[in-house]
Amino acid sequence: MRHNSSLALLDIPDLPIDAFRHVGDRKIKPQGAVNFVTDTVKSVADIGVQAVKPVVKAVDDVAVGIDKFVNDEIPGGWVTVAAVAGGTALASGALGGAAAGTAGATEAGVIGAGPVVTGYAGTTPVTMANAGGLLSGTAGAVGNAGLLTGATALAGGGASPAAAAALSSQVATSGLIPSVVQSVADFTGLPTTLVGQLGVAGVQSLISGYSASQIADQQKQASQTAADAQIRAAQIAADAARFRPVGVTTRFGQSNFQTDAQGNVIGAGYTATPEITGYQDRLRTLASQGLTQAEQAPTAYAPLQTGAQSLFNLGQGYLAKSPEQAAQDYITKQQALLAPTQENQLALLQNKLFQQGRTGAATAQGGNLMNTNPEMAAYYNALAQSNLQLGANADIEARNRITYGSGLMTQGAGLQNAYYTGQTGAYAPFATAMDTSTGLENLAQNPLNLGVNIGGRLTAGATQAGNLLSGGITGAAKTMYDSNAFSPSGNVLSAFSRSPLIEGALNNLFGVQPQQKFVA
Amino acid sequence: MNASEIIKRDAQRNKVDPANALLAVNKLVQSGDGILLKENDSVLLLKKLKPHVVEVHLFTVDQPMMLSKSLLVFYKKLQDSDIQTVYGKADNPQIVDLMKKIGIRVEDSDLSQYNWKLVI
Repeated sequence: MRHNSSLALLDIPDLPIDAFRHVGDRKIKPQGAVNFVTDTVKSVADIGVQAVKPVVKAVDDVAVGIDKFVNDEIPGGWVTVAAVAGGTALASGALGGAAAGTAGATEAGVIGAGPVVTGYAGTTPVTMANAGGLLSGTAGAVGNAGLLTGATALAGGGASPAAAAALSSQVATSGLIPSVVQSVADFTGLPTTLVGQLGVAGVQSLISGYSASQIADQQKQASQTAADAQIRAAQIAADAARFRPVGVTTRFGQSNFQTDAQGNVIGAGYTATPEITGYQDRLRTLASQGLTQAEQAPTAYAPLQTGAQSLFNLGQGYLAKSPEQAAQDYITKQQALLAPTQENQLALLQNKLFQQGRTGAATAQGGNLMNTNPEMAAYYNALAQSNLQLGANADIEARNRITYGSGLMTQGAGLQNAYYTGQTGAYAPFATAMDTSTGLENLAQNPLNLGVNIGGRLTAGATQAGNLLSGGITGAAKTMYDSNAFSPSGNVLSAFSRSPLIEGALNNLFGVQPQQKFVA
Repeated sequence: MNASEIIKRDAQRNKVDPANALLAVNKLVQSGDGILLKENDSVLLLKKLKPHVVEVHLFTVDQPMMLSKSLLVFYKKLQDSDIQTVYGKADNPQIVDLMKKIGIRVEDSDLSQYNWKLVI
């Protein structure tokens, strides 16, 4: 058997090495030493459970009993623990001894008869004097319901801890003389007879309990004060952060803000001056006229579109032929133009020769050239020279015609563009009037913008101020908390919950794997 | 969770027979030498040694942070009582360091069967 754990101090043995050893027939060895089980069953029997019942049943009953014995507080101090568990036995046993008058002189005189003490023993206990030999062993305490209840009453009575300390000192110095008993009775509100029965230690414990209660009450009040201050600070910060626009009036307009009873902005607008609205009314007429003109523009510019189409067709005619065709056309047209003149010249020449009788006359020209009439030779030479000149100009004229056709197309495109530009331009009067009216509207709206901007800056400043004030109040609340309520455990708790070192130590201690924290 | 359940589970975790633990605790409180305090899922057993002096045992299934708060509540309750000295045996010495870090003035025990002492 091992006794290594702290529970060994309670005579609770560790499990034996062979704790779960099978003993056959699918059974394991029962736990706990036989002697211990016997002892515990006997103890269970002491609390009214039949010893003949199975141990498991007894353990279940014990568990129920334990649950009933759990306390919210340590009842009145440790000295009276026995009274908590066994008030009846205490009253009849140890207190019986007290009633027998074996206590020390002072305490015995105070405590007096047993029945008084017995009455307290059955209820909430409080520390009483252990007057050497009067109360011994587990019965070394006397129940008293007065401590906590009395302290609570004191807390509500407005007495201070300092007064309690002074009174306690007076009790210690002078004992429970009548004047002191009266002071305690006045202080606590308890009857003087009961105060006298409590004894010196009992009275001091009572007053001590009051101090503890008072401190707890002060701590509670301080906490409430701090909480109230933080709420107030939050309200101030929220109020400071509320948007507060500023009314602005300019040459052209005035801002208007509507707020509810709490100061929240519920509406905003602006009013233009009569000068601005007058301008806008006149511009509205101009704009209407301009819009009418814009509507009429397509009809007005329609001829441009027709002319453009004609130019396109004409230019297309020039561009539809190849350069050779264009040259041939040129020559043909030029020859057609020259033909009547040339035919007339030939007729005149033939008539002249006939009249002179030289129609058939021919002269030699030398070399291998045949004989011919000189006038006729000159005529045909001139005709050949003219055709040669036309042929030489034909290519140039062909290029010129193509260029001309291209120019016609460009001009047609220009007319088409002018058709659209004209329509766009027709909107200018309307747009100009509207732009001008919009500019006037902006002038009138400026006060609203200025009010919002200035209000925003003021609100930001007020928010900062509110935060500072809020922080100051919170800090003051913390400071006042520390000074108003000294609470070591409270401070410990606060520091404890914030300390990663302690949390880490706890995790290590209990083998807990800390969860990964993600920071967005 | 009931106090008895906490005690049983703690005993199982510490390799102690739960029934024995329950019976021992019951015997102690029935005799008047023990007081049980419960906070969250922790139970503190106070065993009287002599007037104003106690021995404490902690049974717990609390998670660490919750246990910390439970311990501080127990400490506060001890402060509110007229208990003056507390003895304990920490199976894990880190608990002693921990109590020191949170401001509880834990000292080395002057009794051999314990390893820490607290003067309230």
